[in-house]
Amino acid sequence: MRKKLQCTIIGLIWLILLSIIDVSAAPLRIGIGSSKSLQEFQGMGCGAMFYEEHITSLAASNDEKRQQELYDDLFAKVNTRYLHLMIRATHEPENDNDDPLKPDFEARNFAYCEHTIAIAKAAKKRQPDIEFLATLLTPPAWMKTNNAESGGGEEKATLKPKMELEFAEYLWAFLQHMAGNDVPVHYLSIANEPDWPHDQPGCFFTPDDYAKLFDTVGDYLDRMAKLYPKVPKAQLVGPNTLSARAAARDYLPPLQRKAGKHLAVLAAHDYDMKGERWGDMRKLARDRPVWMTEWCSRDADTSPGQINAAMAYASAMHAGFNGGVNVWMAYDWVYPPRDGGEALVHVDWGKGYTLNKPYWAFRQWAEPLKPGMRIVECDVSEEDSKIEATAFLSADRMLVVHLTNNGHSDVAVQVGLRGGNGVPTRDC
Amino acid sequence: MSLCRSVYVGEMGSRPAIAKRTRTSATEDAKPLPAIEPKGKVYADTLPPRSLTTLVISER
Repeated sequence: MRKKLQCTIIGLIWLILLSIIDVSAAPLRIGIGSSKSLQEFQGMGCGAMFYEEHITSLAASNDEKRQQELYDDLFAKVNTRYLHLMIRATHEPENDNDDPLKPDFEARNFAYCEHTIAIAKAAKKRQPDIEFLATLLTPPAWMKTNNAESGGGEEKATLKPKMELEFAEYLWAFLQHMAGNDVPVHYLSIANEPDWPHDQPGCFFTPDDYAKLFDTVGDYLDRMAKLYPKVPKAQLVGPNTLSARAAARDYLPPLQRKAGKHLAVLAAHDYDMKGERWGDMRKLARDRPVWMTEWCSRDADTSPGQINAAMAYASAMHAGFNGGVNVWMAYDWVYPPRDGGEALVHVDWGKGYTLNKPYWAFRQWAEPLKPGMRIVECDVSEEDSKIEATAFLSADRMLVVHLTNNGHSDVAVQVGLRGGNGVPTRDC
Repeated sequence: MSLCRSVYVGEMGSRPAIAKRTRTSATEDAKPLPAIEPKGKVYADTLPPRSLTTLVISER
């Protein structure tokens, strides 16, 4: 009996000791740099999609001071290189004529671009080197099999037969209008998530149909560049699928085969975060850049300032850069106030705006980065920890390390610098 | 004629370099924090829950 009591007491003492000595208190080790050479960082970006009028609503409500402050917060204080613009489906409500080589568009149908142009100019004023990527969500209803802007859901609405050149002309008309307003579009995506049967505005394309259309648009833009040299020719970005896995597995092989000469940038969204998707795209890219063109935190988030969404953004940026992307673009600068974490900033139409935690995390991430840096490999000592790390090294010997703690308690870390493959100096 | 060479992560600690810190958490918005002095080539920090910490290390 006495021996049993002794055993119990000893057991209790062990339990107490184990609870006092936090076995997790040993610092987590993070090694920066290894023998693996990773890709070049080329920039961060964000979009002005769907809610352009909210972005410009402060000026519309005669609060020019607050409007300029918002533009400063978006474009002067956040280090981005790309602004993602939306091409709507309304600037050709009916076919202008039957000759796609003779565009005859009416200026009044581009009224929606007034906000896009104001935003792009505000961005350019603050970041003269900023570049614009424009994406078409859907062609006009009259070009589509469902005669509607909706993607048709499971019906998978797509382009009507023999509409390919009209489709190309529609895209070119946007480029022309923007160029005519001193907003040259540098990059063009002919579709948005063509792999997904959207109910929202969208247009579905099979991988083969997408590749054929891409080739047709590429040839058309080459031809129009000769006919209209004042309209800068945009470089084509694709396939811009919802899933990077689908891009690498299904869309890029036929696209490279049929229209490889027109494909300047390999791009996809990252809403299907499985597998070595970015590594697979890198293998297909060879020397071309790989862009993550859209990601956002879509879950409802009522945490203070939406810190949960901010952590999700950081985690997605870790995944993108450690996976192999050169460029990472947040989905949207601005949404109206809501529980979802889709946008970095909430604008209460005409009244004011709130910089949410996702904004601060994105701003902090982008701030020290410079195009030309190299991503260098990070090793975190415990694979199941809540710690994520991404590091960037510049040729002028600046190292940036982003560390995220997704857990609910403090974590002590030791960041150690190793050797690793180098970044060429500027002399090279 | 200049020799083409590369910069390596390991070189970053060859001369004493401090790490400037910035943090976003539930209570901070991209807030600059006191810099960290390295011990050898190791930088120690404690990351609060639900936070993003950025270290910027450049040679002095």
